[in-house]
Amino acid sequence: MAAGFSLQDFILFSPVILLTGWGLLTLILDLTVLSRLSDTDRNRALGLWTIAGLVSSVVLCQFLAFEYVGNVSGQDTLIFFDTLNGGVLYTQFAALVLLFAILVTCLSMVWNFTSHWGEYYALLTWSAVSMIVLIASEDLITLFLSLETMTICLYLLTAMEKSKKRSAEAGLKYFVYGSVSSALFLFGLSLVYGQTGSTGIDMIGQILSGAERPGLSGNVAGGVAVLMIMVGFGFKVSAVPFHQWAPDAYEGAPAPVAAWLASGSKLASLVAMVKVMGGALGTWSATTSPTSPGWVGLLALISAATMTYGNFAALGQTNLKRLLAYSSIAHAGYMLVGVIAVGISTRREEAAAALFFYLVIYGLTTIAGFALASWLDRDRGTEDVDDLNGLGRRHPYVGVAVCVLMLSMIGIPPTAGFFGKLYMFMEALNVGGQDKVTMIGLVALGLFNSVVSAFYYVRILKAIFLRESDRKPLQNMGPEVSLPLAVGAGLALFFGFQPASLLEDMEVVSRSGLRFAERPIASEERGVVRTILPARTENPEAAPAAEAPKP
Amino acid sequence: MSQQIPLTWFLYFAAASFSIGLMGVLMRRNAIGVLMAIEIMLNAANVNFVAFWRYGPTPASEGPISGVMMALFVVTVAAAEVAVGVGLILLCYRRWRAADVDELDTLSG
Amino acid sequence: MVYNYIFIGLLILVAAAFAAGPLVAVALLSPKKRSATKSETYECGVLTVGDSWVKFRMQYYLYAILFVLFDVETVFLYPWAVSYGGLGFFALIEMIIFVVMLLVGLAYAWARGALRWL
Repeated sequence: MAAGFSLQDFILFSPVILLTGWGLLTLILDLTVLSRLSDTDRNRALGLWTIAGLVSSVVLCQFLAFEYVGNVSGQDTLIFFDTLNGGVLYTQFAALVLLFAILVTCLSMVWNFTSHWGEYYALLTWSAVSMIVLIASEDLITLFLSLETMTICLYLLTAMEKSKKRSAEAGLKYFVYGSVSSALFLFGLSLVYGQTGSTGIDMIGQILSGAERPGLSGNVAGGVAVLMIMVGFGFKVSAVPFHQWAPDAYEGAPAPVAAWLASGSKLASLVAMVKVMGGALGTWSATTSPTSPGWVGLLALISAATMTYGNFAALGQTNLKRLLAYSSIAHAGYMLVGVIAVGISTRREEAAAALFFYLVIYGLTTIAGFALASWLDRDRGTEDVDDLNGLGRRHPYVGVAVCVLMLSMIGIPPTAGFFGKLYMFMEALNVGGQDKVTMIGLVALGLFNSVVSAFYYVRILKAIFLRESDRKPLQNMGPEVSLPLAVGAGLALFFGFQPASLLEDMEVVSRSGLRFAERPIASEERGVVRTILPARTENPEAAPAAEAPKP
Repeated sequence: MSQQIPLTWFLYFAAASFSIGLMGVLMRRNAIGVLMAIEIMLNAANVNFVAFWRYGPTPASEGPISGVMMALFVVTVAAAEVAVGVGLILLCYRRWRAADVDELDTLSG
Repeated sequence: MVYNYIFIGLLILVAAAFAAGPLVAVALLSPKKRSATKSETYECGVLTVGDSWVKFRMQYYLYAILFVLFDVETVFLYPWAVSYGGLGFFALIEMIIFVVMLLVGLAYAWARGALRWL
């Protein structure tokens, strides 16, 4: 692991650099060449332009994966002073994020919800860039920076809808919650930095596991840091005590942006969460004794509350976007079970792979769900569940696609959603030690919640197939809606029959991309309490610059 | 033997200003006030980073300077956040005022 | 150690006295004749209109924000400038790219009319 950087680092990161420049060009194009066109034409032109950029970035990514990354057996190389991952994890997830971004761009071309198309597509591109950097980051500095860039872009995207007052309100609400939680997150990071003296994620993991008394017991600063970091991630993935922004933001944002919030942002944040909680703070995870609690217990509580609240709140929703928002809260709850499994399982790589599998399928199906919402938005201006009445008779293919999506979201066998839940919960049950009981409880709750979730997903199917429409019929959806819908439903079905292909891919990713420090035998209580920083302040060599002036 | 301000003082200061910021966020009604409070919170974390760097396990003069780097980046992130926040507040302000005007229109028509 | 602080304390005292002294002296020594003209903001010159607590247009925040953004970006220029000698040619290119990006931002704000005085 030689620190430093070379030209090869820039070549490896060229897809990201290309997209950054592409975003700038989007702005310039909008202001110069396209400024005379109507909103609809600009939307179409810039949307196609953005898709061209994203596709060329994917191609570049795949080329690099073959040319430079190549060997999948070893650990990923780190680039740019060991701050970013330049291996399989980066190329695979970059391609995935870009696929999500392409689908979202398709949805954005459905109707004219704003007139600032240059800014819209530029921000979309840049948020995709920061998601890729967030996933690739191996250092707290790049992690925080990309997390902030991502959310700042998303605040603005949320407030983009011009015709609705609630869009601006949603943006402001999202902003206030988001920036407070990121300030808390940063304070937590500063405490971790203080305990370890390093910002490298892998380095922190090694230092903490090499500490004389690992674990959280008696370490107040560490406990506070874990709490605050948990608040930050909890907000980003909309876990329950920090979820209040999500329904409002999803409902207020234009449907494509809501799809982007639910898929890309959640994917990136959860991968980062696995890295920080499982990688850097993995030593602090397990409950080893009643006096030595880890973060697992806390996260288990959050996860249980999240899935239960999300599902029960979704039961009463009539607005499709709001319903999908609560459903995404519930899915965040399931996925936190996966994060816990990564934290304490002995098969951490496999647990992470199961979580990533779930994330991919969840992202694809959610984007397809929001495709439905943007179709309703274009033709009716509202997106109630009742707007879907009678859709199955008029558009039978759409009915079938939505059926596959809903079955996948519930987790019923021929679809990929079933295997996502199966793999993740199996990994959760593989956990040994003191926390086994917690995990069994969580999995049981997860299964119960899946049953509850069936009620509201089936309500959508009931509206589509059993009810008669009393509103004006929807027009044909056109390729912008049908492509994301078809991709989501098709892949959910494909990976339902071929789950192993995706799972193996994700296992390669997590094996080579994630770095877990050796976990010490935690029940041993060894030696003295580790000297934490205040004890070192009297060392004069440590701080030669601050000598008192001579009186 | 040089005497210097102990690390804990910095930490107390950072924790206190962080709490002030948090209280500000929770208590203020004015959106601009909330923005200012968020800035205080971010900068409290910055104080922590720089203080930990200065007194850290690796000597400040030769070790990695990641604490200071982090502080630098946080400063810019904070500026960007404020810019976006003010932009959003302006947008809300415009929308609400425009809504009032619309109501007047419907009455006169 | 404590000895050093004595000077600071002295400095604070002197500074406070320097500021407060003339005020106290004026209050004690000067003749007092109150009238409506004397209580105005400018005793001679343009008459003031309205309250001093006026509301500014929200638009002015735009200028302030633009200023803050470009101002804060210089935080990256300082460390670069200080260690320029040891960085070499590549750092120059990087900084040029950075500044060009800022310039594009400025040009964008200009083209969008954010710099127009209302």
